[in-house]
Order: sequence, then structure tokens, then C-alpha cells
Amino acid sequence: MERGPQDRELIDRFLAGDRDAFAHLVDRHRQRVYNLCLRLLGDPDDAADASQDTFVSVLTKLEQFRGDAAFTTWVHRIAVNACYDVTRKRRRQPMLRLASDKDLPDDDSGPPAPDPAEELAGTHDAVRALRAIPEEFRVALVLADLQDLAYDEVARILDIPIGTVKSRVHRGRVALARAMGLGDREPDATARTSQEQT
Amino acid sequence: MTHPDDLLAEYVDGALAEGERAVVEGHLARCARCRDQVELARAARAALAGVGDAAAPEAIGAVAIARARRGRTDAARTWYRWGGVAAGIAAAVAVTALLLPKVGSGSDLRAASAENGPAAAASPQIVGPATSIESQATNYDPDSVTAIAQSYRGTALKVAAEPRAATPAATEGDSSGFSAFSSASACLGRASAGAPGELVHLIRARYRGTPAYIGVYLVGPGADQPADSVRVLVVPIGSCSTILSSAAAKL
Repeated sequence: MERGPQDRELIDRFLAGDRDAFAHLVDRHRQRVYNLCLRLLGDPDDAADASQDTFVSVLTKLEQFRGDAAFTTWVHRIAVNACYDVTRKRRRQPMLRLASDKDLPDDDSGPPAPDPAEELAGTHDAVRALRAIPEEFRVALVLADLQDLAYDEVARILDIPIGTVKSRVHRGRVALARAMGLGDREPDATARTSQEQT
Repeated sequence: MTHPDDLLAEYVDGALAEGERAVVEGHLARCARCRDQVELARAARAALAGVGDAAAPEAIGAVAIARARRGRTDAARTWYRWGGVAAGIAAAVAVTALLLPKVGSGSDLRAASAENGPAAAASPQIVGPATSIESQATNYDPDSVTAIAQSYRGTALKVAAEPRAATPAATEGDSSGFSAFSSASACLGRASAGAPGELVHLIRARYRGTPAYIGVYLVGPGADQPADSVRVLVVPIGSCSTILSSAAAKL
């Protein structure tokens, strides 16, 4: 989808006083932001919280958006930081985590059901394995391989050199495959093998 | 041996230029470690390519807008998980302890909640009576109407120090704004056979495609008693005899 001009137009309309324009902006980015948060956090409730936080931040900071970066890059950066914040809060508030009793019967305000597509063989393993790899790898992998962002855009979102992004994506893929049970060798074993080849 | 880790991602993507690809392939011919890693990375990339998008809850936008409008950062965010009994009870206890004896003293309430530090997730948000109509592009449905109600959990009503009519604000523009507000709030009141409580938010949007007024009321258990619940009413614009949807939640 061509987002740039339409985002810019909606931002300008919002800053000019058109409140409806922000709802359109949210509609355009809600799906991507939620899926980014869902894959980073691994929990639909946390993803919904982080998505809300993202759009609250976007709304309150929109006047500061100068257009130096693409709006999508800016939103992704805010979303990644919102996910980091949610992760930090969950670490500090273990009881809140326990309070979310998923065994309770669903009611109208309950979390959305998982997407059935996620249950497909293979992809479910990949989604689960994402939660098992280091956070810095997971972030790079989700942005590059699930959000389909170019490496230079991932570098701008994470504010790290593009070479670091490429390295993290590669190492993240390897870690993901191992977390899925693929590959026989432990990292140390492969390191030894490569040294032997030298 | 130095491994070209920074090139392997793009090699697996099939995105390397010919010269770099030749360098990588020359290395792979000599390095079992990198050959193994490329095989694993290809498998991971293929698995991720099959991961589809999950459907985002539609209410995210509406709730975020409601939170931003009220300047909230935490209090309403957890409505998804508040089906969990413990959180609901904790919030109810916190709100009861902090608010009910002090309604009418907004600054005191903020100070009390600030002192509670980490308990801010259940800290109160003070709202006043609505005085204007907020126009939104959102097309609401039953879930998002419920989300509005849920977003008011942890909210207390600030009792107006002055008669309300003294503070008409008109987001709809000029002097017609207040009369439009009065007309809309009266319409909501007629549809529900009398305002169910204090109107704290009046929205003009759509409900399942129908232009509608959405009124958010804080409701007490009895006359002159502090509000303990929120009720949301949706009526079609132009008809004050039909309620399209409603939702309620405990504060």
C-alpha cells in the first residue's frame, strides 16, 4: 500500500483541527502495529495494551512529527518502545500477570481469539519459537521477516547500524531454527567445527 | 577464519549482488559452520513466511483515542484483561479507598493517587460533565461501545463547583455548538426516558454505519451518591426514540 502521501495528508488534516483524520490514521496502521506487538510480546492482551499505548503516544506527539522519517518508521519506533515498556512493566508486576486468568469463561470484553491461521502446522512452531530467542534478535527478525521492512528501515527504527541489523537477522534466524528443533549441532559445536575447518 | 555474518542474511534473501554472492559462496565451500547456519536460516525464513497476520481488535483505536483525550496513560489500558477477577477487585478496592470519600476534591485525589506510586494502574481519572460534542470518524459496533464503557474503569466524577451552564464549550465551532450539544444531550435523555446519570462525554460518530450520538454517563446507585458505574447509550441522529446500543461497566 502506498502510505506516505496519504499519511501526510491525514496528519496535516489532524493538525489543522480535523479530529476524524486521526481515526483514519489509526485504521491504516492498527493491523500492522498490533501484529508487531503480538509477535514481539507473544500475548494478545499485552499486544493490545502496547498497541493502545502506541496510538496514545502517536496522538500526543503528532505535533512533534516533522516528517524527517516516514510516518510508518516513526510509528514502528514508538510501537517497539511501547513493547519494551510493557515488557518492563510485566517484569515489575508479576501479580498483575497472575491476575489475568485465562481460564475464566469468555465474556464480551475478553481478549480476541487467536487467529486460526496461527495454528497451522509449522507457523505455530515458528511463532512459539520467537518467544524463546533473545529479545534483540526477535525484534530484528519480526521487523524484517514478518513486517517485511527493508534492513535500512529496520536500522532507522532501532537506531542501530544497518550491519548490526543484518547480523541480528541472520543470527536470529539461526536461533529461531534451533528453537524450533531444527539442526543437530549446538552453537559451541558448530563453532568448533568452523575452527577445525580453518 | 572470519565469517561474513553481515552478508549471510542477504545471501539467504537472495538479495546479494553478484560479486558479494561469489565471496559468500567461496566462503561456504570452505566453512561447515556457515553452511549449517545458512541451512537453518533458510528454514527459519520459510517458517516465518507462513506466519499470517492476526486480526487486531477493532476497539484499540477507539480506546486509545478515549485515553489520549482524557490524558490517561494506564488506567483504562487493561480492560482486555479485567475479565480477570483479581484485577477488577483490586481496582474497585483502590477506587473505593481513594475516591469515594473525596469526590469533589480533584487536586486531593490526584495527590492521593500520586502517592500510591506503582498502584497507578488503578489510579483514578477525574472527569467533569460534558459540555461539547466530539466528532469522530469511528464506525462503532457493540464491541467498541463496550470498550468505551470499559475504558472508564477507574474514573471518578469531578463535581462542578459552579453551575454547569456557566461553562459551555463548543468544539463544533461557534455559538451553535452549545445548542447542538443541548439538543443532542436532550435527545439521548429522551431515548432513555431521562438521563441515566451525569453525561461526561458526548460523541457524534457512526454506529454500524448509522450516524449516531453516543453518550457516556457516570451513574450513582442513588440520588446524590458517588458514581459507581458507567453507562454508554447510542441513539441514531434524528430519532430520539430508539436506542441502537448500550453498554455498562462498573467503575
